[in-house]
Amino acid sequence: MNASNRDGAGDLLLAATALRRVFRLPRTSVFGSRAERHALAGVDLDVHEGASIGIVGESGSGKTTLARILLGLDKPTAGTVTYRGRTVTPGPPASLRWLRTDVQVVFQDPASSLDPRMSAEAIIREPLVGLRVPGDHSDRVVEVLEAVGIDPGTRHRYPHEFSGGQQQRLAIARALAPNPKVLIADEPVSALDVSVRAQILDLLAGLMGDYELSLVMVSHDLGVVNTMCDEVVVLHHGAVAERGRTAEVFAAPSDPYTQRLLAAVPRL
Amino acid sequence: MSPVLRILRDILRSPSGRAGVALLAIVVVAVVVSYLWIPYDPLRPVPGDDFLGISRDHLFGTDASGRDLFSGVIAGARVSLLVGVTSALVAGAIGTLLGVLSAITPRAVGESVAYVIDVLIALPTIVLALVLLGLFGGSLFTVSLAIGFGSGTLLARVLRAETKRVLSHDYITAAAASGTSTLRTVFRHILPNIAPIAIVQLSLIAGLAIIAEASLSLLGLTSLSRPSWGRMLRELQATLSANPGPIAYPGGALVIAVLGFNLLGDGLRDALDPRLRTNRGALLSERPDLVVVPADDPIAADREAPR
Amino acid sequence: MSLLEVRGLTVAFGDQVVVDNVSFSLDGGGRMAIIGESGSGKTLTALSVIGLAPETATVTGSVVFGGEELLGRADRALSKVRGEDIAMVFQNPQTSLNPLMRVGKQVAEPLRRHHGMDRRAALAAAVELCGRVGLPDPARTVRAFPHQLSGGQRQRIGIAIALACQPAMLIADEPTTALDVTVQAEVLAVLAELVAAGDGASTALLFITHDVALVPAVADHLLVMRSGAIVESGPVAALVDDPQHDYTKQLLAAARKTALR
Repeated sequence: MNASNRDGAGDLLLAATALRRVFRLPRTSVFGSRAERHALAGVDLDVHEGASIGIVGESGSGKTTLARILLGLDKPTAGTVTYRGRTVTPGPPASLRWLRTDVQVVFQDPASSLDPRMSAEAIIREPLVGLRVPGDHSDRVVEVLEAVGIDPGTRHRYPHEFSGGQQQRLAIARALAPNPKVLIADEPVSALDVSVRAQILDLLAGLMGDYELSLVMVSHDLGVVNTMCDEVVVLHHGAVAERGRTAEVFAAPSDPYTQRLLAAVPRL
Repeated sequence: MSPVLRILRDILRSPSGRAGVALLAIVVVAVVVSYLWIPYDPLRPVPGDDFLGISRDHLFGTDASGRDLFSGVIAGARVSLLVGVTSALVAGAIGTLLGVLSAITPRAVGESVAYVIDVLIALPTIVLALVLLGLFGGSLFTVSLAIGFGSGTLLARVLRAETKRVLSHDYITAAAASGTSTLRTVFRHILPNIAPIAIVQLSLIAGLAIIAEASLSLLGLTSLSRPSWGRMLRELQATLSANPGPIAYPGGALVIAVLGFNLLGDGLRDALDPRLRTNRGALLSERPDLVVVPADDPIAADREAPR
Repeated sequence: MSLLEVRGLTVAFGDQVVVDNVSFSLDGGGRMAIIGESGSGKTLTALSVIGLAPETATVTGSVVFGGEELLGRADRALSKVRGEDIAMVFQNPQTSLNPLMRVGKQVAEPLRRHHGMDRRAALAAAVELCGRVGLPDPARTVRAFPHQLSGGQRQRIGIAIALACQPAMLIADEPTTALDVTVQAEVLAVLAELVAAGDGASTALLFITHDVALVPAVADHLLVMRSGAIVESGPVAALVDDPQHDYTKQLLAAARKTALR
């Protein structure tokens, strides 16, 4: 399952430099300044072609904030994100089409990420329309459905008519539709049953190979990261506690937080 | 099959929808008939014909001044139907615009709009209606506008909350990641997902508007030259103890119209919900072998994957 | 005689059977885990044991606790059993605590209700309990509201509430699923320790989870459920090392695939 024969030494695709994100909390008193939450406190990240990076952290680590900033969905307080050298500036969806044709996202909970009032086909078609992807859209919809293992004959069905695992496949199909180079997956299997997780992870690994995708996977599950990602970045309170090749970091962590994290994982 | 026809078919599939359509059909038929043939002028008193019983000449009998009740009821249907539909449209427009806007705009703007909505809600609808009536006369449009405005502000509050709920879903973020513009997201994702609540509210608003108009007429505040069920109630009220029967006609007509709108609203909401349909288009009520567990059901814990 | 004897427990919603003829027994002080994926019926089984299945459900079979049949008993009788003899810890620490009540009061509540303690004595006992579940500065923590505590702290409060009256049995339904992995380890440790060290007899534990990896630390006996039925049961060590049923094998294989060695 581990795509370890790709050593991630291709072109630099996404690069995040010195990212800081401070959230100003709502006012709790008339006097004094508003409290601040430092979600990200100086994070660097490089995503090369062919890379598979796991961003590991617990709640409050900043991993979800990081994912949103990489996608241009949130503006960092400081620092920059570039894709192939071009700066990512958050703004209306139209201004970021150039980024989103190459960088796509899969969310954690398919029940939330699929509009219950749209058919599977309409859901997958949306990025093709929104990102002005050339070519026949109907054909592309069928193509990606087959790639994720969903019978294209069921494409007029609604999300609730699919199982949880199938819904996540639909979400992956949607992300795949514009033929991106980078897939950012935010806890892609956490909401799924254990027996379904392996299937979805296998699917992702296969797609990464077939479509030459780079993967950035945000997860709290070290086992999943160990299975899928060659590199790992451990986030703690918005800063990078440790980073490196997954096998090495997990075998011999040098940072105390990483050590605590690894010690806490229940082993079978 | 065209989407509109499909929706109509699905409305008729649910018991509420059938009942609602049946009741409103009665009202609509009454309106149509009123344009083709009214036996008597519903407003003209005919001295000497007071309180005639039911007969072939007077299907519902007459009132204290000899006016034919049947003519009054079918003519009054026009007013009620018009007020119901117009108020709902006005309320829908105001409610959706204000509600959605206040939820999707950045915090400062959105919250200001929300405060404005709250202030507007504080204006009592009936008082507003009275003021408008005083200023612009008792035209039907004024009445509908007043009622629509009052209900629209309440609807705005409801739709603001509902829009926020919709916005919390990842499919909205996914739409942005798919390059879908904000405007298109509103039409493609937000409006369809707030529609169920909006429809039910609007059906209630239509019903309430009909009652409000009837109340204003009952109070004698609307134009005398226009037949209305509220007017009939007013006239019949004076002689209620002596002749309690005839008031059932305009009263019953009001019940039919209001209930009709409410039930239609339920049927329409169910017809639009993809979750209540299987892939072969049957409504869930016709397929008891399929079980759908609503999202906030306590046993969803056993159906949904653990987090 | 076992503390808890469940025989032929069946829960249905109309025609749909969600728990299918489930039978198992738990000895006093025993520790049993129920493993299953979504739709396995594990939560509903636990809820049915203490009579908390939804109103629309038809529950049949037999649930004998401490020699007495619980199924079919009036809610008033059951609510006495709940909290005093059988306690429950739920999955979501956000929603299982009353947001408007200070946590100390919530811990004291079962003591006042079942043991008739007065307010001051109950609160003092609550402080002591909060200390035992590992909450820092218990005297101050008891005055906090749930939203002022972290998820792990709230779950510890949930455990304190459950163990306040030293129940004979504790049912824990996915108690750590919503928690971070480091917090999960701590909370599980607290649970294991308290269950074993109850004053007098130890508390029996019924632990429900979807995560196989947690089981060896908290349970001696394991039940595997799928689609409402028990497919395999036995001692944890034996089952994990040498599963017999195909589904159990599948489950363990899938878990191992994405686990850390």
